[in-house]
Amino acid sequence: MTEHEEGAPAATEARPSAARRARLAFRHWRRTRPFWGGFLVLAGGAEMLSLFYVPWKVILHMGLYGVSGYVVPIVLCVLGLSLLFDPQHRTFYSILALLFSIASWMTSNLGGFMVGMLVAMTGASLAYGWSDAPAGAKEEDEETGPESGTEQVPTS
Amino acid sequence: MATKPAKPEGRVRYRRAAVPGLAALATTGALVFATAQGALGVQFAISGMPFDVTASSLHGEGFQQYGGLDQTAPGSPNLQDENGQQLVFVSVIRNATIHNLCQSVNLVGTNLLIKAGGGANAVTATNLVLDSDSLVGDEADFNNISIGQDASTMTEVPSLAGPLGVFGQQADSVDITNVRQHNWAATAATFKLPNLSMTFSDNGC
Repeated sequence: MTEHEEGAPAATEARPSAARRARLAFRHWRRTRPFWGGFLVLAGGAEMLSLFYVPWKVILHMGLYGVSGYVVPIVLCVLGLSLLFDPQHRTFYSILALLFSIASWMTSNLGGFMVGMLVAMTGASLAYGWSDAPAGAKEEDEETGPESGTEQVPTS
Repeated sequence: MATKPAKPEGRVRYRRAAVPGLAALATTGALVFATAQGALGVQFAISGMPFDVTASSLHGEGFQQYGGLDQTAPGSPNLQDENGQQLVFVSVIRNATIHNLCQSVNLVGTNLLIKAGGGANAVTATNLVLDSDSLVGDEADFNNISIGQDASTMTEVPSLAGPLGVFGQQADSVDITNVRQHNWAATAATFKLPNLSMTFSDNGC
């Protein structure tokens, strides 16, 4: 029993409210994927993009090199979403996200003045380290679900 | 309780996460170092927020300047009084050499200050494009200037000519001392920033 979030011993509740069911469903969704990793990669990319939302017309005459300022953060956002919605390939995505966050230093305002770069790197590392394999001997993850149906909430 | 979740839940193994994390941090350190040495060029493309640039001297090879109208992104909270438009003049410099560059962006409550190019090592930039609404300098020397040329016919930085029918001027080279600019957008193909420092400060440049 590691996971009572706030009070309310789950087992005694006969009929969980809709809000609580949604919260549990979201928690389950969150825990079945490298959520914080993907989220931070997404946030890092978004921070870099936010620095140049933009008079496009000035950017338009930049060549390929200028475009890379946008491409790198956009790719980071896509990788963040991929980590969230395709967690099976997290190793691939997280290594790519790491490389792109490093590249952002050169292409995108010093990696969004370092902030977005560090955030995305943290996310990529967390996603790389995330695993859903049973952790050796310890397998104390007990879902609190009061009814067995609660866990089966489709998450897509 | 006996039922298993449809999908196994996972967690972060911090020891495993540390491997790419430390590698990335080391790489970042190397990149920052290389940039501060001026060995590595970085790219700048910032806009949407006004920022100040000052420099003790600016030398440019291939200079052109023309008027323009910057438009913020639709729905942007900036510049609502002006319908999201800002009249600017666009300065394009093919090869710029800048001494004692200081750039500050006013974030809410504090300024992000970027300094580079102090001492003997100057900041260099190629295909620098600046959208400014004010440019002040102590002394400006233009070499071989032509004023009043249509912006679309500019030849100094051919890939970055201006729009048709807009007043413009161009020069082979330009030297300005004690430059102070108020900018709305800046892009550069490459920017070399020796002696880089980034700090937060109450005062801008």
